[in-house]
Amino acid sequence: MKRRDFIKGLLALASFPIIAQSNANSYEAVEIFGDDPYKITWKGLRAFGLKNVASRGDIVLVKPNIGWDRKPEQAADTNPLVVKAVVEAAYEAGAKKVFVFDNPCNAAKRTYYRSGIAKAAKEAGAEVIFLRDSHLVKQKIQGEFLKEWEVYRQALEVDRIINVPIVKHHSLAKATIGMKNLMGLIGGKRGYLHRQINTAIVDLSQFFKPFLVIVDAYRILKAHGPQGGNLKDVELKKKLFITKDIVAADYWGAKLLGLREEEMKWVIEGKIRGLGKKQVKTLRI
Amino acid sequence: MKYKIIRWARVLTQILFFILFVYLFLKTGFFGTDKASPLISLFFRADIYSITIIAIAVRTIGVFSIFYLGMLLLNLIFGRVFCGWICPMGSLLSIFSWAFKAKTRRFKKPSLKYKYIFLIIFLVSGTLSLPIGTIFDPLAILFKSFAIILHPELNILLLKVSEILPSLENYSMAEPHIFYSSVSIGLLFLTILLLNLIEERFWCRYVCPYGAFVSTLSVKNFLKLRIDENKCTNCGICDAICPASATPLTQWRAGECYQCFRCHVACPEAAIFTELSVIPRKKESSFDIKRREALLTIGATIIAIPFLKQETKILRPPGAVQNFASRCIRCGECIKGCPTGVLQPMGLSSGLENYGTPRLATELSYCEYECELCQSLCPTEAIGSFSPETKKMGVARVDRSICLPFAYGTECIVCEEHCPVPEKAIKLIETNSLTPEGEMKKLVGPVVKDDLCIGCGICQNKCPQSPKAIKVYPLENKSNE
Repeated sequence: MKRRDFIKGLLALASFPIIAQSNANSYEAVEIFGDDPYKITWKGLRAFGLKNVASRGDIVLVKPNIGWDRKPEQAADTNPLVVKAVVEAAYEAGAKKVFVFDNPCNAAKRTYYRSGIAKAAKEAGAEVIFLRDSHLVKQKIQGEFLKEWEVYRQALEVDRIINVPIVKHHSLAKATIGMKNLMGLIGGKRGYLHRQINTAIVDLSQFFKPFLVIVDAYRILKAHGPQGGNLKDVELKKKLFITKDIVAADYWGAKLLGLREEEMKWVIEGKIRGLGKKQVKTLRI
Repeated sequence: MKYKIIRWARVLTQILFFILFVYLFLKTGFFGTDKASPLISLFFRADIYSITIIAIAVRTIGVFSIFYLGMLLLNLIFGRVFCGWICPMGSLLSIFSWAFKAKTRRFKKPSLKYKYIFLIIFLVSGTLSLPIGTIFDPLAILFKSFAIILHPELNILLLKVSEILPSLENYSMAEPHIFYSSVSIGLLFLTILLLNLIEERFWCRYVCPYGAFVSTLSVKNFLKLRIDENKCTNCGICDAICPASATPLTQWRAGECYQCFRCHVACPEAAIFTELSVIPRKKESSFDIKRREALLTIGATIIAIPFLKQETKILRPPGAVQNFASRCIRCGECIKGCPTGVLQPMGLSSGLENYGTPRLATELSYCEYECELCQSLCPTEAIGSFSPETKKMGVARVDRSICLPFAYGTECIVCEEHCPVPEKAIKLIETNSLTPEGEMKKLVGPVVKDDLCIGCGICQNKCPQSPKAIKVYPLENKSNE
């Protein structure tokens, strides 16, 4: 056997698990386009495989962005119909229980109601809960910037986190998509994170390890983010991106907002720290 | 027998109104819509005492509603039925006496005139645009005691219990609120309750200005109490048990009578009856206050009131009218309903003029940009109509000596991020700033655009610095009191 053949064989052997995996699930992401946010979510999740949403008996947290006291048309919070479909899909995949919650920036009750998410999630059978300071527990984040922080215990008690962010402009981080959405699972003085926002949100992604990311780009907020308010800043994209790779998810969203590569500091940092790839094999529907 | 049924009907009515009061109290808040039904503040829209004072104070009939007129007519025709059949505070005091079986203590009974003296003081100060009388409105005292003491206390208790029984947590308030002035309002409420230990419904007989107002209205009512002199044995039971000191036997005071029908039932000879009539009884006196006393009170009030007036710049709720303190009946509806708890009752230190009126406490919370709840709860339109776009409460100011980007060379955009104005009232400008290590750093810092800023105070609340590097101040050019 020639040395070259030997090395080839070794490489083939080493790559076998990867090939085997990619054969089983030939796409690492699904991008869907369509008129109805509810239908496209279901379509996308079916294409991506419901087994990637939840396993039998799982307790699942569906974490939308319920940050602001705005209506769905203002694109400051995740589309309620997307949330509804995800919760339903999680139950169909066999989840025992699905929780929906967030730590909003505005008054929680108003935000839950007016974003339409509380109603939509309850209709799908999710347990919608309000977070309190008494639910916070100190956790070792062991990130590069965040060493220790207060985290809502409900987020630690679930088997899987399904991250359902919306694509929005943000004046400091340039965009808020999947990684930044995880800030809703922590308490305390969250403003502190803005001192090194890019490192902080990569730290959080590393800590929470969301199982699935569903990027809602049905409507996106192009300016005056993260809460907007002006319908002029909202653009209808009618798109959704489903992946397990949070870096790819944020890269896709940031591209949609028209960000240049050098503006996506958190994506680059996430990639360097091994959280995922920028571009993944995507099925477009 | 007939009167026994009427008496039980009265007790039932009292209980139903009390339940309604508590129900409407619990329904005062955010339940998915920004418009509350006017029925939520029904008790205060029908508050003939406070609304009359406000109408005098701001010289308008615009505060009168159909509920007000209904209540007015009810008492004009049937007598002091508000106190006997409706008032939840009166019912509470009756329940209190029944529960604690207040012994009739021997004490020198005060004159019934004092409540009229209070009423005169409050009406006169009302004409001088200082409606301090609304502070002593029993409905407002009860409502505020519920809103700022009982409800939050129960909530804290519920949260403690839910540490053991987590399922109970869903029944608690969304956010635990704290309230200012709870001590003074609580003391007022407690005093009213404890006065009942001296005599049943002590407050209603001798102190309550609302009661005095209703008495004045109902002095010529058409439900006349009569005593069949052929049956009467002058035993005096009716005088002794009357909870209003209306003394049917010795000195009949038609205005004081609650129409409670207790004496009808208690009379061993069944000599007391009521008929529809315009003819008064023979021995009937109208008020226990002499003309001279009334005139003296008026004079003293006119002299004293200017000393109570004080000019202060105060952050008021959105849509607050120019002469807010004159138009606010201090009912506490907006304070209870506010979903962020930013509306706080003002304390005694702010003067009687402002005591109990709502203030925008931006050091505690903030006004939610899209929320319009308080205007639909306000029974007197002291909180006038507004929309998110027309809110203007104050203006924010940045203190660059403590603001992170300016003073510490540290990135922070929290205030800008939270600014709810669509075009952003907080702009980020580029600045060169020194870090504590002495490094020159180029970053962005916040600047407030006065014309866009609505003074909601979310920036102040979310500012990570302590003390806050951005704060809301009352508007300069507008007299806000």
